[in-house]
Amino acid sequence: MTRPFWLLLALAFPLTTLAAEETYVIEPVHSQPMFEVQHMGGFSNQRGSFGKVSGKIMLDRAAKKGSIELTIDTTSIRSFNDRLDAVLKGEDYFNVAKYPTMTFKSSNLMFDGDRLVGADGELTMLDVTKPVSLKVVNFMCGEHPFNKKPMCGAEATATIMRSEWGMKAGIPKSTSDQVRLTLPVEAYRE
Amino acid sequence: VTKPVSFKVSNFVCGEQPFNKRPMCGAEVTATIMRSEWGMKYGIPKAAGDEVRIYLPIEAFRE
Repeated sequence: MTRPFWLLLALAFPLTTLAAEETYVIEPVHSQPMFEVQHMGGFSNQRGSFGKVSGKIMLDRAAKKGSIELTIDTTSIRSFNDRLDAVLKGEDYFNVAKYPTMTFKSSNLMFDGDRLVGADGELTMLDVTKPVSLKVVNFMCGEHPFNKKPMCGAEATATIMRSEWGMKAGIPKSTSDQVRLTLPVEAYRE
Repeated sequence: VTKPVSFKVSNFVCGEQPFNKRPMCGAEVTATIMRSEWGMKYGIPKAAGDEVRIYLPIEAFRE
């Protein structure tokens, strides 16, 4: 590329804006965390989700840095079965009366080029904080097709052993220790 | 509208249900379809994709 082109680019995008950190706010309707467990020692996989989530993602794609803060309302757990929802909200599982939220925080994001591909962070559940590595796929940024606001989206996944957070009920006969988490994320730039 | 669909079955397992001891089988069934083939074309592609991934966890007791 010729020198005048780079000069033009440098004038159009000063360094301060190239390196700027952007704040993305979670769009809760399309960012509902899902979970998947094995039922009855492996007869089937059962799924559920949390309907209420909030949070922010700070991204500096040029510097390949950023942070994530997610808060999940544990009272919003849904398993597609009302009777089971009551059990999951109870003392043996999420104990939502005592622990109404769980959080994921990370300030260690991994990039491939300018694409977010992972985040090492900490999940706090039942007041226990343990490390969790999120794998991020399908990361993309662009305009929301209807309202034209800038947004990013991705799918984040992780597999945890719930017993590490002290949630040991029903292992392994009723439901597995291993829980697969899938977090679809859409977030608008602030 | 009736169209062919191929389901993939994984994790097929048969045995005793651990609590009531009744014989049962379980599996996970998945398929990917294009919903437009059934005439459900609304919102493609801006609101929601044409491609739909279907998961069917199955548990069934032997009679």
